[in-house]
Amino acid sequence: MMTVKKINLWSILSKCFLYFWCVFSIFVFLWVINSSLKTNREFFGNIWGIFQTPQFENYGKVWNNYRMGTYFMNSVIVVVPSVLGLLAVSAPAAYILARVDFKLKKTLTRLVSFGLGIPYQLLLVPLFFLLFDLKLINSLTGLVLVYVALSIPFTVFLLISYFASLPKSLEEAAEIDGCGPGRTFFQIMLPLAGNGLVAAGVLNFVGLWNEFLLALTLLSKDSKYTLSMGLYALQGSLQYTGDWVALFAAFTMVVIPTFILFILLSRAIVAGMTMGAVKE
Amino acid sequence: MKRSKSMIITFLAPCLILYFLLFLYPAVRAFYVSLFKWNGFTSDMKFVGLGNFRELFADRHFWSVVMANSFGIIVFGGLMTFTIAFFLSGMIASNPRGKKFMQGLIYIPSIINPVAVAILWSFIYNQQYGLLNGFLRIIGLGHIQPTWTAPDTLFWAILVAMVWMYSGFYFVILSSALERVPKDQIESAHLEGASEFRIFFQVKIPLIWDVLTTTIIYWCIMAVKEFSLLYAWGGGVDVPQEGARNLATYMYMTAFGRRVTIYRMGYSTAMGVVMLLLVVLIYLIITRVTKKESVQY
Repeated sequence: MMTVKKINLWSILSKCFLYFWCVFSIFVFLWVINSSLKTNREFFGNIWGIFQTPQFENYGKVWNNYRMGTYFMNSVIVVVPSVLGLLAVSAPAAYILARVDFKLKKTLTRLVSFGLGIPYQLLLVPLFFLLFDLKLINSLTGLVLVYVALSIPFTVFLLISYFASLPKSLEEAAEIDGCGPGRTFFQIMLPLAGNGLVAAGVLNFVGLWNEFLLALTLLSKDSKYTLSMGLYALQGSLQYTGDWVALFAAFTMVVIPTFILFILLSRAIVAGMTMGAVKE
Repeated sequence: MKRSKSMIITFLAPCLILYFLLFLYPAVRAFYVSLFKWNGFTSDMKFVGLGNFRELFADRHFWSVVMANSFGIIVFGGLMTFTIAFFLSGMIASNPRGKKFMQGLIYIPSIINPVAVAILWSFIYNQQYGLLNGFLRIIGLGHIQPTWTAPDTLFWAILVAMVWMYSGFYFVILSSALERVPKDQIESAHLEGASEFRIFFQVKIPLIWDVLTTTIIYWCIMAVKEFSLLYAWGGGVDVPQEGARNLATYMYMTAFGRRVTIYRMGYSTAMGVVMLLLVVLIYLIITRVTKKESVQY
């Protein structure tokens, strides 16, 4: 049932604000995409003008000459295994911590929960030298291991809340049917927590795809840069050379995959986020 | 149900080994490192006790710039972000046309790469070719042409970008909490003649109190840790200017800064410890202050 709506100044103002907010974002994105298809001469001549003929070679130049292609592939090589590895180690652990009673359960859960609050900056220096000793600086493998380890607390807690919400009778029924504990986990519990796995996967994917601090610390070789790092380096050099349109193209290239992912998976993203906030 | 010890161990081990080795061990070691003077690349670590902390707390730059900015982000950034998030969720809740589309549009900036956000806003703020000054020229205020990222306004310029980036995240969380508020409570308040304003503060806020506190704690922790946008702001060409220096960027620059090499590992890690203490302190204060007022429904 609807309540009577009063039309007052307050609601008009906030409505204007909503539209302003949305129009601003759309406009800015369109402006960047439009600028990425101009020539530098066109852009510097008139920042508002529409491109004459679309300069797709801006994208080619950024992808090949400025090595965004390499950075993109590095990001894929780092982020995909990180997310898969993360789920592979976190799901069984979360299952045990959520549903099995054993002596150290409380202590271990608490230890993992510390990780939720510790700023990465605390461990940055020791971590750098630990990886240095392990010869994993400038190594994508090293970065994957670090990404997995540092994302464990968030992921485990998100998955614990999914596993904990499953009814206890499921395991009992499985046992009566002669299903061993291992099979119970893989064939019954894991599929039921599927939404949780998707949510955890997507949220971590986005987080790691955009990760900057650790990549900046642990990678110093141009050929190993991930997208964040590459974009950061590119920004410095392109502003210096005045090749703005290439920078616009680089921006678009970095942002588009996130847009696509969001459009495809927005449900899972929102579900995971609100779950995290409510259960924390 | 009985589960063998061996299963518990196999299920937990990979996760815990990685976590202990690459997360907890370096975190604990940080406390040790923070007590030394060390440039990192020699084994020469000189024990200075709490010397790093003493030096840090006596450093005026640390308080007047670094800490001031960190708190500025927490407080002013927080106020702006939450006000905007509430505003937007209130409007979205009234089911305007294109609701789904606008929800997505509001959320998207928070999943864009922060380095890209820094670049985007440098396009907006650029003195000569930026959107903002271009707009001023169109509406006939071309003679003003402010330098938005001048040293004295840089912090605020970045803060606006940050609020734009993060509002969507808090918008999603708060609006999903507000949606769960029972409709009959709002309706009965309406029938009693309460204004929208009063309903918001006296009915809705208490009902989403738990989510709101968690979200505020989350904001504070995130604000303390905020690094990417601030560090990338410099455009990869120099160390963060004063307006972009908070605990996180200053700490990074002290240890690993590429343009100005400082390599003060102990001193930098002491700042990491300060960050952790700040997070713990904020957590304790907020949970204590907000505990009593929770309302169950």
